[in-house]
Amino acid sequence: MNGRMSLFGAALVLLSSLAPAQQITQQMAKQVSTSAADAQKDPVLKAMLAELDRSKQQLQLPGFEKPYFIEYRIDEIGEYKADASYGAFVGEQAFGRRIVRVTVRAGDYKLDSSGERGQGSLQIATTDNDPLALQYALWSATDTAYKAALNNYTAKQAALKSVQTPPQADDFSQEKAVVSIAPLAKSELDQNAWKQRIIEATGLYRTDSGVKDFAQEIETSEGSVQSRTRTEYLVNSEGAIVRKSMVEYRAEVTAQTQAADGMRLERSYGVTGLTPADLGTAEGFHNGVIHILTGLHELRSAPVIGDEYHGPVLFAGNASARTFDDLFAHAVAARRPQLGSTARTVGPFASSYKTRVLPDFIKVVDDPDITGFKGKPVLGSYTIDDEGVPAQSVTLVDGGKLTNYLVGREPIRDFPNSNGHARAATAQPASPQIGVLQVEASETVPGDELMKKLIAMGKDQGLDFVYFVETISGASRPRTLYRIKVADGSRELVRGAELEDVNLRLLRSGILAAGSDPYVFNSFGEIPRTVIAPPLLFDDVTVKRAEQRNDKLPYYPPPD
Amino acid sequence: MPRSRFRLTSLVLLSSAFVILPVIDKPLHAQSSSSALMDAMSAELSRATSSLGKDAKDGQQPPYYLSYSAHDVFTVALTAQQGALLNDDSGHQRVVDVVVRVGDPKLDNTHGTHRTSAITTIPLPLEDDSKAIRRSLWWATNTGYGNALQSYLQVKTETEVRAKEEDTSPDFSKDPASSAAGQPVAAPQVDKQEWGQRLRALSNIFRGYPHVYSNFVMLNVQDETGYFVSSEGAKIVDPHRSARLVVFASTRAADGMDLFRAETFEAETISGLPAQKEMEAAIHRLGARLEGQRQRGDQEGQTFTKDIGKPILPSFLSVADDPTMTTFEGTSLSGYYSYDDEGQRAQKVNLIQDGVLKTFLMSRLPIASFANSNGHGRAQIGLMPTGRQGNLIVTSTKTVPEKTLRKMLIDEAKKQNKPYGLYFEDISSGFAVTTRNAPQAFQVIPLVVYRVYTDGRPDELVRGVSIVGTPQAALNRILATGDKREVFNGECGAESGTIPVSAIAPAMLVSEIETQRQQQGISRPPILPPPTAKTSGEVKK
Repeated sequence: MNGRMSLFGAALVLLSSLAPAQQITQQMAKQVSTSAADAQKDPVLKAMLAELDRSKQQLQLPGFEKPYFIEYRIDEIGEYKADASYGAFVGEQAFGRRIVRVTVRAGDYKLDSSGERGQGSLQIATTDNDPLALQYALWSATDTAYKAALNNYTAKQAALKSVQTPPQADDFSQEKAVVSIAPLAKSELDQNAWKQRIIEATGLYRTDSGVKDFAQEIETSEGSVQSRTRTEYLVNSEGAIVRKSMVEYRAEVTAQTQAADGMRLERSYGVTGLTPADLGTAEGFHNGVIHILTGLHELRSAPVIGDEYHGPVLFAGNASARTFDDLFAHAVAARRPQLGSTARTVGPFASSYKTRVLPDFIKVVDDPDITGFKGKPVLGSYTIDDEGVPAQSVTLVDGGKLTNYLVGREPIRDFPNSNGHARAATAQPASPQIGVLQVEASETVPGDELMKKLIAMGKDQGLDFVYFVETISGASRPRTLYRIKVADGSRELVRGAELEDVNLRLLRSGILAAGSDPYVFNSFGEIPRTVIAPPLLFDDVTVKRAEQRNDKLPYYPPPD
Repeated sequence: MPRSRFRLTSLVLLSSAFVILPVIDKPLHAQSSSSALMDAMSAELSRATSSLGKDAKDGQQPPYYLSYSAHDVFTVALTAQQGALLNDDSGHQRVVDVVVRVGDPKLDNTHGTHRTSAITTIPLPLEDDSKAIRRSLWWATNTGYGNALQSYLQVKTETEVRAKEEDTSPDFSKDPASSAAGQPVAAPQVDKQEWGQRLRALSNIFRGYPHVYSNFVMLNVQDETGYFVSSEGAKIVDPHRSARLVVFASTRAADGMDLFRAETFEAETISGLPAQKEMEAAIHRLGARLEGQRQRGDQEGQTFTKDIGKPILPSFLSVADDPTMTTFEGTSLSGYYSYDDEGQRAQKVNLIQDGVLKTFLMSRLPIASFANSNGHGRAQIGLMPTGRQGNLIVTSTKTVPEKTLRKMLIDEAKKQNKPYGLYFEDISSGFAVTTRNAPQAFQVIPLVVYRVYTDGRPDELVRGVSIVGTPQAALNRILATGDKREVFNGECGAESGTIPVSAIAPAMLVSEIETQRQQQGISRPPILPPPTAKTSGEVKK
């Protein structure tokens, strides 16, 4: 009985060893240095610059050309996570890692070795601030990346000979090298307090007098609390020196049940933020979980949606924001088309530049520089992107027309420069992504007006019911959906629905009105992002029964 | 990624360079036995057994077998490279493998390719909160039972439409249930400050070997308590502790061939690992050897299978697997265990006796003519156990001293009119029954091979030698063995996951081996010397 753990064990790491010894005072901690001399005070940047210098001077395979661009990035991740289920502690992990990513480009800015996927090579680096050991990891990754670049460059030159249409833009943009050394962020999560909170919260189904009567219905009750610190160190052969650091926090509880017909139902309550305070109070968390447990109980006995419906549907801000996140965010990213293609970029908006993609009263801006919105934290904010380019506010859609794209250092036709939107997950190459996407309407309607408008439309179209989507996952699966009686405006929770025709065409010509209270939707994770959008009234959406299998109900009851 | 897993299994043919570890036999830390976990598991198991399939509607028959195997595991893992730490982790988790079998032992839901349908793995609370533990077990059992029913239906349909199978063995053996009440282990006591420094110092040695391009030193302490209950009445609490230090190094020859070596130190607890000096010396040997190995190139290459009752080795050789051995001549054995992952008591199994293949390493998955487990059902957590190696032991009745063996090698080479004989110093291999249809015997990958010349020239390192396929013929040509046996500790990977194993074998003289050119890598060695090399500054070596 000595099966081995496949993971090297969940990890408790000396997070303290991650942060280079620092005696930064509170005031200094807020300051970002733009002095290259300050890089020498950071042992990681110092080692990176030393090895970069060695590579710049000496790296050349006899008979081949030297690289024209080298970038070193070190991602330092410090993560803490505690898990609980059914009111008991399941475990906690804390780990720290440094991962080196080296990008080497051979050729020149116009035509280089870069392919469709970002090139680069990875190594795990020491969490000690040992300069030689850090350089060793960089050296090893550089060697691999340079050899790969030479190979790719030869292959690309050959491939170019097989296409008639030359590339529509340069391979790599020229940008001003930035020096920006931000203070190191550190998780300030009260781990013990939050651990207790999630233990308590996952046990509420059986301890809280308001919900424990239906404890037997709850099949799973799991939760976790997490803090994620990421410090990025970036230097390149053009002279950029960047250190940026952030912490994001999340706590979440998910519960599952099955309705009497076997339909699986799941609700979760989660909070995210940039400070522990953003997660709210213990009481707030407790109430949030009680709310979803009660909601699950109600959902269990809610009727299954009936006949297929075509007609007006109102999306709450939460559902609108998620819809934009799901459909719109990736469409505005500028990505280099295939070799030989005449396209500007790839994706649904490849040929939509200067054409209408949204109604004329809608404007969309991505502005990573904002740090909060009406008192709510904004997870997607940043000041320098993951290629070392300062973030710019980009107006993507104005008067309904597509006016710009999110661009990194791999340009597309008519957009020769980065607007600071290249973002990267840990150890991954950077590519254009949203930061803080804001959907703004020039004419808005207050919430209850919007509801009245929905009902009035139903009346006009001779419908008995209309639908209101409160929360959604992705663009098609409502989590809480209400059927609203046109006759008296009464609402009823329904389950088992799926939306159809929620696509870019609907966004272009199906938005009738926008609400006045925008919702801030934050995505916690590798590339934190935010979408801010108002409630939206759509003219014609299909609501139908979801095609899903209803699993058997439990074969035997849970223990008491 | 330096942390990538490598597999080192064993059977050391013609081996000489091995460090013998001191025996440390410390008593286990006493800890309050986690009877709450065992009680919750037993109670929930019996509730499941008496509840499932009782109303017999929809053809939902009850499971005929149910087991809960919980693993309470403490881990400490530190890795260092070039004098600095890459990671410093420790953890404690509980995971349970729930196994549900529906049908009957002759034909059940695990038949054929459906073996994994029996197992459901989930984390368990670390607290002895009986309610939460039982609720977790209920959830996993309910999920597992659903999967088992569905799979059983498929199995029945498939068996009806398919031609009669060659091997008509049942799907589950009849074996007795065991009971054991071991003392649960406590969290391992590791002074991370001290060991961090020791690992830094050990890994720093490689700075002196600039051509060893990739290297790391890893410490892995894993103290585990297994809790096993089954519907057959098994009740086992089984502690297992291990501390292992692995040194891994690789290099690349000018022709692009990648070469690697590893050295492992094994003990029951961290205090049993060898002194720093001893490990330092071993790393220096490893570094020097690897650098030597990349200097020259040559190609050599073949294999073997089974056949019960037939001679597959010379009659002076016997092979056994004995997981109950904790040490061999002072060296801790990593393949040691008391109960296997199906709750069967570990047994010594004589696989090859006087050269004749007698049996295989068996789990409770029967194969033609072998109906029972012999206590070798092993798996990584979350995977279904199969017959796997524990401590493989090769014994010989025709032994000669090392010197004589070398002389015999030269004589044999002369007899065959060859300028040299091959000396396999370090071989990585495995011995396992992997699948029902293809029980496999040995696999051999030589790591260090020397040419021993007949004309008295010094030995010459060769590389790129590959013995692949089934070297049955080769093994039949073993002429004699050395008189000293060496231990190899390592890990063995197969479809039931990676498990710790050991092998004990003497040096062997083989009269003839068919060798084969090993596939070559195409990458060049690094362009610049590493920054840690003392000669850094020069552009090309």
